[in-house]
Amino acid sequence: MKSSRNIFIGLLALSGLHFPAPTSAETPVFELEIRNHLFYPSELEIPADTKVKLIVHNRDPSPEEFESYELNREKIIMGNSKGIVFIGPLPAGEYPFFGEFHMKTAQGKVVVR
Amino acid sequence: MLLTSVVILLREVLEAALIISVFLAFSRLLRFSGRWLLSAFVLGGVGAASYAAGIDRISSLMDGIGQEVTNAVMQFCIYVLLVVFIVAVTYRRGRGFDPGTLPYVAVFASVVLAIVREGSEILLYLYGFFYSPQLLPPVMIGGAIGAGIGFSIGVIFYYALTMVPEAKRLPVGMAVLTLIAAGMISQATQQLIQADILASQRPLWDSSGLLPEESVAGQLLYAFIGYEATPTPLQVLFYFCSIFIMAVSAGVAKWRAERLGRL
Repeated sequence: MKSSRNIFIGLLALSGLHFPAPTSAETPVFELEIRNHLFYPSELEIPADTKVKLIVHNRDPSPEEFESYELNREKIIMGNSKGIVFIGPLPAGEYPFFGEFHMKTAQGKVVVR
Repeated sequence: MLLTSVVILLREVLEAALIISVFLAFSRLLRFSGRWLLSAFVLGGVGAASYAAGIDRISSLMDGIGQEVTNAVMQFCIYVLLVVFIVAVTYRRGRGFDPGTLPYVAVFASVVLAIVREGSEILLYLYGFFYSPQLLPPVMIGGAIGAGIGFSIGVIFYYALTMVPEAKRLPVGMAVLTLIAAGMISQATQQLIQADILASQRPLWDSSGLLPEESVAGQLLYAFIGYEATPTPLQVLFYFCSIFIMAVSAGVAKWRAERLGRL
Protein backbone atom coordinates (compact mmCIF):
# COMPACT_ATOMS: atom_id res chain seq x y z
CA MET A 1 0.00 0.00 0.00
CA LYS A 2 1.38 3.36 -0.95
CA SER A 3 0.42 5.13 2.31
CA SER A 4 2.03 2.57 4.61
CA ARG A 5 5.15 2.64 2.48
CA ASN A 6 5.27 6.41 2.82
CA ILE A 7 4.88 6.14 6.59
CA PHE A 8 7.70 3.62 6.70
CA ILE A 9 9.99 5.90 4.70
CA GLY A 10 9.04 8.83 6.87
CA LEU A 11 9.82 6.93 10.08
CA LEU A 12 13.17 5.80 8.69
CA ALA A 13 14.05 9.35 7.76
CA LEU A 14 12.95 10.69 11.12
CA SER A 15 15.13 8.16 12.89
CA GLY A 16 18.07 9.73 11.13
CA LEU A 17 17.26 13.21 12.30
CA HIS A 18 18.50 14.43 15.61
CA PHE A 19 19.66 17.77 16.82
CA PRO A 20 23.20 18.29 18.13
CA ALA A 21 23.47 18.35 21.92
CA PRO A 22 24.09 21.85 23.26
CA THR A 23 27.04 20.60 25.30
CA SER A 24 29.61 18.19 23.94
CA ALA A 25 29.59 16.24 27.18
CA GLU A 26 29.22 12.97 25.30
CA THR A 27 31.13 13.83 22.14
CA PRO A 28 34.91 13.80 22.55
CA VAL A 29 36.69 16.74 21.00
CA PHE A 30 39.95 16.48 19.04
CA GLU A 31 41.98 19.26 17.51
CA LEU A 32 44.07 19.57 14.38
CA GLU A 33 46.27 22.41 13.23
CA ILE A 34 47.24 23.56 9.79
CA ARG A 35 50.54 25.39 9.68
CA ASN A 36 52.55 26.09 6.55
CA HIS A 37 50.18 23.80 4.64
CA LEU A 38 50.96 20.87 6.95
CA PHE A 39 48.72 19.08 9.42
CA TYR A 40 49.72 18.86 13.07
CA PRO A 41 49.47 16.12 14.17
CA SER A 42 49.61 14.26 10.88
CA GLU A 43 48.28 11.16 12.59
CA LEU A 44 45.29 11.56 14.82
CA GLU A 45 44.14 8.68 16.95
CA ILE A 46 40.46 8.40 17.87
CA PRO A 47 38.44 5.66 19.56
CA ALA A 48 36.49 3.19 17.44
CA ASP A 49 32.71 3.34 17.06
CA THR A 50 32.61 6.80 18.62
CA LYS A 51 31.32 10.02 17.13
CA VAL A 52 34.02 12.65 17.50
CA LYS A 53 34.05 16.42 17.09
CA LEU A 54 37.11 17.55 15.20
CA ILE A 55 38.18 21.20 15.42
CA VAL A 56 40.59 22.18 12.66
CA HIS A 57 42.57 25.36 13.32
CA ASN A 58 43.93 26.97 10.18
CA ARG A 59 46.94 28.98 11.36
CA ASP A 60 47.91 29.90 7.80
CA PRO A 61 46.73 33.18 6.29
CA SER A 62 45.34 31.38 3.23
CA PRO A 63 42.18 29.22 3.13
CA GLU A 64 42.37 25.43 3.11
CA GLU A 65 39.82 22.73 2.43
CA PHE A 66 39.85 19.83 4.85
CA GLU A 67 38.82 16.81 2.80
CA SER A 68 38.75 13.03 2.97
CA TYR A 69 37.21 10.45 0.64
CA GLU A 70 37.39 7.69 3.23
CA LEU A 71 35.78 9.82 5.93
CA ASN A 72 33.41 11.47 3.46
CA ARG A 73 34.08 14.97 4.73
CA GLU A 74 34.89 18.28 3.11
CA LYS A 75 34.99 21.74 4.61
CA ILE A 76 36.55 25.03 3.64
CA ILE A 77 38.38 26.80 6.45
CA MET A 78 39.44 30.40 5.97
CA GLY A 79 42.86 31.64 6.99
CA ASN A 80 43.32 32.25 10.71
CA SER A 81 40.01 30.54 11.42
CA LYS A 82 38.77 27.25 12.65
CA GLY A 83 36.26 24.76 11.37
CA ILE A 84 34.24 22.04 13.05
CA VAL A 85 33.74 18.64 11.46
CA PHE A 86 32.02 15.62 12.99
CA ILE A 87 33.59 12.24 12.29
CA GLY A 88 32.55 8.70 13.09
CA PRO A 89 31.37 6.35 14.47
CA LEU A 90 34.00 4.41 12.54
CA PRO A 91 35.29 0.85 12.62
CA ALA A 92 38.99 0.37 13.38
CA GLY A 93 41.32 1.31 10.56
CA GLU A 94 43.19 4.16 8.93
CA TYR A 95 41.40 7.00 7.17
CA PRO A 96 43.55 9.44 5.20
CA PHE A 97 42.64 13.10 4.87
CA PHE A 98 44.23 15.98 3.02
CA GLY A 99 44.08 19.70 2.44
CA GLU A 100 42.64 19.97 -1.03
CA PHE A 101 44.20 23.33 -1.74
CA HIS A 102 47.71 22.13 -0.90
CA MET A 103 47.48 18.40 -1.51
CA LYS A 104 51.18 17.77 -1.88
CA THR A 105 52.05 18.68 1.68
CA ALA A 106 48.83 18.81 3.65
CA GLN A 107 48.24 15.14 4.33
CA GLY A 108 47.37 13.15 7.37
CA LYS A 109 45.32 10.25 8.59
CA VAL A 110 42.89 9.41 11.28
CA VAL A 111 43.84 6.18 13.02
CA VAL A 112 40.87 4.51 14.63
CA ARG A 113 41.59 1.94 17.36
CA MET B 1 51.44 23.18 -7.68
CA LEU B 2 50.60 22.85 -11.32
CA LEU B 3 49.15 19.35 -11.05
CA THR B 4 47.21 20.14 -7.89
CA SER B 5 45.56 23.13 -9.51
CA VAL B 6 44.71 21.07 -12.61
CA VAL B 7 42.84 18.55 -10.49
CA ILE B 8 41.06 21.11 -8.32
CA LEU B 9 39.81 23.26 -11.18
CA LEU B 10 38.86 20.16 -13.14
CA ARG B 11 36.71 18.84 -10.30
CA GLU B 12 34.90 22.07 -9.60
CA VAL B 13 34.36 23.03 -13.23
CA LEU B 14 33.17 19.51 -14.07
CA GLU B 15 30.31 19.57 -11.60
CA ALA B 16 28.93 22.81 -12.95
CA ALA B 17 29.75 21.90 -16.57
CA LEU B 18 27.63 18.75 -16.48
CA ILE B 19 24.53 20.56 -15.32
CA ILE B 20 25.08 23.34 -17.83
CA SER B 21 25.56 20.96 -20.76
CA VAL B 22 22.42 19.01 -19.90
CA PHE B 23 20.43 22.21 -19.79
CA LEU B 24 21.97 23.48 -23.02
CA ALA B 25 20.99 20.24 -24.69
CA PHE B 26 17.48 20.72 -23.33
CA SER B 27 17.41 24.29 -24.60
CA ARG B 28 17.94 23.02 -28.07
CA LEU B 29 15.31 20.36 -27.66
CA LEU B 30 12.71 22.64 -26.14
CA ARG B 31 13.59 25.41 -28.53
CA PHE B 32 14.36 28.15 -26.12
CA SER B 33 17.48 30.16 -26.75
CA GLY B 34 20.67 29.53 -24.83
CA ARG B 35 20.92 33.19 -23.99
CA TRP B 36 20.23 32.47 -20.33
CA LEU B 37 23.73 31.06 -20.04
CA LEU B 38 25.57 34.37 -20.08
CA SER B 39 23.34 36.02 -17.47
CA ALA B 40 23.47 32.86 -15.36
CA PHE B 41 27.26 33.02 -15.45
CA VAL B 42 27.32 36.67 -14.44
CA LEU B 43 24.82 36.23 -11.64
CA GLY B 44 26.50 33.00 -10.56
CA GLY B 45 29.87 34.72 -10.55
CA VAL B 46 28.59 37.53 -8.35
CA GLY B 47 26.99 34.98 -6.03
CA ALA B 48 30.18 32.93 -5.88
CA ALA B 49 32.23 36.00 -5.00
CA SER B 50 29.74 36.97 -2.28
CA TYR B 51 29.68 33.48 -0.82
CA ALA B 52 33.48 33.28 -0.87
CA ALA B 53 33.84 36.68 0.74
CA GLY B 54 31.40 35.82 3.49
CA ILE B 55 32.45 32.21 4.09
CA ASP B 56 34.06 32.93 7.43
CA ARG B 57 30.92 34.52 8.83
CA ILE B 58 28.67 31.91 7.23
CA SER B 59 30.77 29.05 8.60
CA SER B 60 30.56 30.32 12.16
CA LEU B 61 26.77 30.57 12.06
CA MET B 62 24.75 27.92 13.86
CA ASP B 63 27.60 26.95 16.19
CA GLY B 64 30.09 26.32 13.40
CA ILE B 65 27.95 24.36 10.94
CA GLY B 66 26.69 27.28 8.85
CA GLN B 67 28.74 26.24 5.83
CA GLU B 68 27.26 22.76 5.70
CA VAL B 69 23.72 24.04 6.17
CA THR B 70 24.13 26.65 3.43
CA ASN B 71 25.58 24.08 1.02
CA ALA B 72 22.84 21.58 1.82
CA VAL B 73 20.15 24.22 1.28
CA MET B 74 21.64 25.17 -2.09
CA GLN B 75 21.86 21.54 -3.18
CA PHE B 76 18.34 20.85 -2.02
CA CYS B 77 17.10 23.90 -3.95
CA ILE B 78 18.75 22.58 -7.11
CA TYR B 79 16.96 19.30 -6.54
CA VAL B 80 13.60 21.04 -6.17
CA LEU B 81 14.26 23.18 -9.25
CA LEU B 82 15.07 20.06 -11.26
CA VAL B 83 11.81 18.45 -10.12
CA VAL B 84 9.95 21.62 -11.10
CA PHE B 85 11.69 21.61 -14.47
CA ILE B 86 10.82 18.01 -15.27
CA VAL B 87 7.25 18.32 -14.07
CA ALA B 88 6.69 21.58 -15.97
CA VAL B 89 8.15 20.23 -19.21
CA THR B 90 6.18 16.99 -18.93
CA TYR B 91 2.94 18.73 -18.10
CA ARG B 92 3.13 21.46 -20.69
CA ARG B 93 4.30 19.30 -23.52
CA GLY B 94 1.83 19.74 -26.27
CA ARG B 95 1.95 19.67 -29.97
CA GLY B 96 3.58 23.08 -30.08
CA PHE B 97 6.17 22.10 -27.49
CA ASP B 98 5.87 25.43 -25.74
CA PRO B 99 7.28 24.99 -22.28
CA GLY B 100 6.40 28.42 -20.91
CA THR B 101 8.60 30.42 -18.56
CA LEU B 102 8.70 28.05 -15.56
CA PRO B 103 11.24 25.58 -16.99
CA TYR B 104 13.33 28.51 -18.17
CA VAL B 105 13.41 29.99 -14.65
CA ALA B 106 14.18 26.58 -13.13
CA VAL B 107 17.10 26.09 -15.53
CA PHE B 108 18.45 29.56 -14.87
CA ALA B 109 18.23 29.28 -11.08
CA SER B 110 19.80 25.79 -10.97
CA VAL B 111 22.76 26.88 -13.04
CA VAL B 112 23.25 30.00 -10.91
CA LEU B 113 23.26 27.91 -7.74
CA ALA B 114 25.68 25.38 -9.22
CA ILE B 115 28.03 28.19 -10.25
CA VAL B 116 27.80 29.80 -6.80
CA ARG B 117 28.68 26.50 -5.15
CA GLU B 118 31.58 25.49 -7.40
CA GLY B 119 32.74 28.99 -8.25
CA SER B 120 33.15 29.98 -4.60
CA GLU B 121 35.56 27.10 -4.04
CA ILE B 122 37.58 28.05 -7.08
CA LEU B 123 37.72 31.67 -5.94
CA LEU B 124 38.82 30.74 -2.42
CA TYR B 125 41.49 28.43 -3.79
CA LEU B 126 42.88 31.11 -6.08
CA TYR B 127 42.60 33.80 -3.39
CA GLY B 128 44.94 31.80 -1.16
CA PHE B 129 47.76 32.27 -3.66
CA PHE B 130 47.81 36.00 -3.22
CA TYR B 131 49.74 35.14 -0.07
CA SER B 132 52.36 33.39 -2.19
CA PRO B 133 52.36 35.35 -5.43
CA GLN B 134 55.40 33.53 -6.78
CA LEU B 135 53.21 30.46 -7.07
CA LEU B 136 50.49 32.27 -8.95
CA PRO B 137 51.69 31.72 -12.57
CA PRO B 138 51.89 27.91 -12.37
CA VAL B 139 48.64 27.83 -10.42
CA MET B 140 46.86 29.90 -13.05
CA ILE B 141 48.25 27.77 -15.87
CA GLY B 142 47.31 24.55 -14.09
CA GLY B 143 43.92 25.99 -13.28
CA ALA B 144 43.35 26.94 -16.90
CA ILE B 145 44.26 23.43 -18.01
CA GLY B 146 41.99 21.85 -15.42
CA ALA B 147 39.12 24.18 -16.29
CA GLY B 148 39.69 23.41 -19.95
CA ILE B 149 39.48 19.68 -19.36
CA GLY B 150 36.30 20.09 -17.30
CA PHE B 151 34.82 22.30 -20.00
CA SER B 152 35.74 19.77 -22.70
CA ILE B 153 34.07 16.95 -20.83
CA GLY B 154 30.97 19.13 -20.59
CA VAL B 155 31.08 19.71 -24.34
CA ILE B 156 31.43 15.99 -25.04
CA PHE B 157 28.50 15.38 -22.74
CA TYR B 158 26.42 17.98 -24.57
CA TYR B 159 27.12 16.42 -27.95
CA ALA B 160 26.47 12.93 -26.62
CA LEU B 161 23.04 14.10 -25.45
CA THR B 162 22.21 15.80 -28.75
CA MET B 163 23.18 12.68 -30.65
CA VAL B 164 20.45 10.68 -28.96
CA PRO B 165 17.68 10.06 -31.52
CA GLU B 166 14.95 12.69 -31.41
CA ALA B 167 12.25 10.39 -30.07
CA LYS B 168 14.33 9.22 -27.12
CA ARG B 169 15.96 12.56 -26.39
CA LEU B 170 13.49 13.90 -23.85
CA PRO B 171 13.25 10.76 -21.69
CA VAL B 172 17.04 10.31 -21.81
CA GLY B 173 17.58 13.93 -20.84
CA MET B 174 15.09 13.58 -17.99
CA ALA B 175 16.79 10.42 -16.77
CA VAL B 176 20.13 12.24 -16.77
CA LEU B 177 18.62 15.16 -14.85
CA THR B 178 17.05 12.76 -12.35
CA LEU B 179 20.46 11.24 -11.61
CA ILE B 180 22.06 14.66 -11.27
CA ALA B 181 19.24 15.68 -8.93
CA ALA B 182 19.73 12.53 -6.84
CA GLY B 183 23.44 13.35 -6.69
CA MET B 184 22.55 16.75 -5.23
CA ILE B 185 20.49 15.08 -2.50
CA SER B 186 23.38 12.71 -1.78
CA GLN B 187 25.75 15.65 -1.38
CA ALA B 188 23.28 17.56 0.79
CA THR B 189 22.85 14.50 3.00
CA GLN B 190 26.63 14.20 3.34
CA GLN B 191 26.88 17.84 4.42
CA LEU B 192 24.17 17.43 7.05
CA ILE B 193 25.81 14.26 8.40
CA GLN B 194 29.08 16.18 8.63
CA ALA B 195 27.27 18.89 10.58
CA ASP B 196 25.77 16.32 12.97
CA ILE B 197 22.22 17.26 11.99
CA LEU B 198 21.63 13.84 10.48
CA ALA B 199 22.79 10.67 12.17
CA SER B 200 26.20 9.37 11.21
CA GLN B 201 26.29 5.65 10.53
CA ARG B 202 28.76 3.02 9.40
CA PRO B 203 28.91 2.85 5.61
CA LEU B 204 26.49 0.46 3.97
CA TRP B 205 29.14 -0.73 1.53
CA ASP B 206 32.71 0.00 0.52
CA SER B 207 33.23 -0.10 -3.22
CA SER B 208 36.55 1.71 -3.16
CA GLY B 209 38.22 -1.57 -4.15
CA LEU B 210 36.11 -1.67 -7.30
CA LEU B 211 35.98 2.03 -8.10
CA PRO B 212 37.86 4.43 -5.84
CA GLU B 213 36.23 7.83 -5.49
CA GLU B 214 39.52 9.59 -6.12
CA SER B 215 40.06 7.93 -9.51
CA VAL B 216 39.17 9.77 -12.70
CA ALA B 217 36.20 7.50 -13.36
CA GLY B 218 35.14 7.85 -9.74
CA GLN B 219 35.21 11.63 -9.94
CA LEU B 220 33.25 11.59 -13.20
CA LEU B 221 30.60 9.35 -11.68
CA TYR B 222 30.54 11.50 -8.56
CA ALA B 223 29.85 14.62 -10.58
CA PHE B 224 27.30 12.85 -12.76
CA ILE B 225 25.28 10.55 -10.51
CA GLY B 226 26.63 11.35 -7.06
CA TYR B 227 28.67 8.13 -6.78
CA GLU B 228 29.94 7.42 -3.28
CA ALA B 229 32.36 4.62 -2.44
CA THR B 230 31.26 4.47 1.20
CA PRO B 231 27.72 5.78 1.55
CA THR B 232 25.81 5.48 4.79
CA PRO B 233 22.39 3.77 4.81
CA LEU B 234 20.75 7.18 5.23
CA GLN B 235 22.49 8.56 2.15
CA VAL B 236 21.41 5.58 0.09
CA LEU B 237 17.85 5.87 1.38
CA PHE B 238 17.57 9.58 0.57
CA TYR B 239 19.19 9.04 -2.82
CA PHE B 240 16.65 6.46 -3.94
CA CYS B 241 13.77 8.34 -2.33
CA SER B 242 14.73 11.41 -4.35
CA ILE B 243 14.61 9.36 -7.55
CA PHE B 244 11.30 7.88 -6.48
CA ILE B 245 9.80 11.30 -5.76
CA MET B 246 11.05 12.61 -9.10
CA ALA B 247 9.59 9.63 -10.97
CA VAL B 248 6.25 9.90 -9.21
CA SER B 249 6.03 13.65 -9.84
CA ALA B 250 6.83 13.19 -13.53
CA GLY B 251 4.38 10.32 -13.72
CA VAL B 252 1.58 12.40 -12.22
CA ALA B 253 2.38 15.29 -14.57
CA LYS B 254 2.26 12.96 -17.54
CA TRP B 255 -1.04 11.44 -16.43
CA ARG B 256 -2.61 14.89 -15.97
CA ALA B 257 -1.31 16.05 -19.34
CA GLU B 258 -2.74 12.95 -21.02
CA ARG B 259 -6.09 13.53 -19.38
CA LEU B 260 -6.09 17.04 -20.76
CA GLY B 261 -5.47 15.57 -24.18
CA ARG B 262 -2.12 17.21 -24.61
CA LEU B 263 -0.16 14.04 -25.08
